[in-house]
Amino acid sequence: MIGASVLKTVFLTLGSAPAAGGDSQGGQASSTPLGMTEFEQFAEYTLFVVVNFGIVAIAIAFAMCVWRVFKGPTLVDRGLAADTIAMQVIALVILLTIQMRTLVFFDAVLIISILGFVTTAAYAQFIGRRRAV
Amino acid sequence: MNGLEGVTVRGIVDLLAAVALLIGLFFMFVGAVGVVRLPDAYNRIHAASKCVTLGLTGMLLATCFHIGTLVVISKALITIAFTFVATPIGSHLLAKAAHHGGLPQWKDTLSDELAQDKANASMAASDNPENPSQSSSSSTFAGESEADDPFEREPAMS
Repeated sequence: MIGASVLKTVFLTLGSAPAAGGDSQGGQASSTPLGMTEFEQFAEYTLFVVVNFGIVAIAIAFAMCVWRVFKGPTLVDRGLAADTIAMQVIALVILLTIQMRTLVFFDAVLIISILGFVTTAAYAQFIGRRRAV
Repeated sequence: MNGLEGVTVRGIVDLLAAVALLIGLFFMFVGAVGVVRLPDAYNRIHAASKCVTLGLTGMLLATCFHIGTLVVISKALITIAFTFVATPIGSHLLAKAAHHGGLPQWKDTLSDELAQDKANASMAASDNPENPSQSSSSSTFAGESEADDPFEREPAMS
């Protein structure tokens, strides 16, 4: 019952959010002198469906990695899951960049990538010093 | 035919962006499933590094397709190059630190070649022959020499 209602909510969100995107797209198309063809509208709609589906999928993957951070029996598992979480934050930033049609967040991609690598290297040094499981 | 009139470059590029985004999302999700489901820390490192690299590449290529600006393309290519260099190095550092700290493998893992290499190198140097099961007992010594050189051959040779 609860699962069915959650799935219904998710599908309603998937159905309504691209319509909102199409509305903003319609505003942009009316601002441009040349209207969009049907194929372009179909491509935009497909891209927005994929982006909304991707936000849900990355959120599920994020929750799984957070579970691994809490559960993980060793220090290596926690560090690895934290690194994967950093990469999923990058994925969310990319999806928001595509969905919100802005380039404000896009600088964060390279910065989070560098920060994730430095964090992983420091964490590996910490594990190697502390010799521990 | 009306269908061919509507087909423009922008629509095709958006469809390509959707396809690249789907590929990237698939790899990201498979990496997360591997992090949760695989039995060992080494296996989880294997899953996370490869899948996350490919997934991030696909999603950045989708951004390149959708927003065609020179700024975005250059930043995305720089990020892809950095990810292809940095993620294997990071997971290699993590795996080597885990093996150095004596993390036990999964019970069905077939071989441990790094431990065999360490044992062979120490027996070839013949100053301190030891089997790899005792290598955790000497990890304090290796931890001192590990601080200045990160390569694995160096402490055994000196």
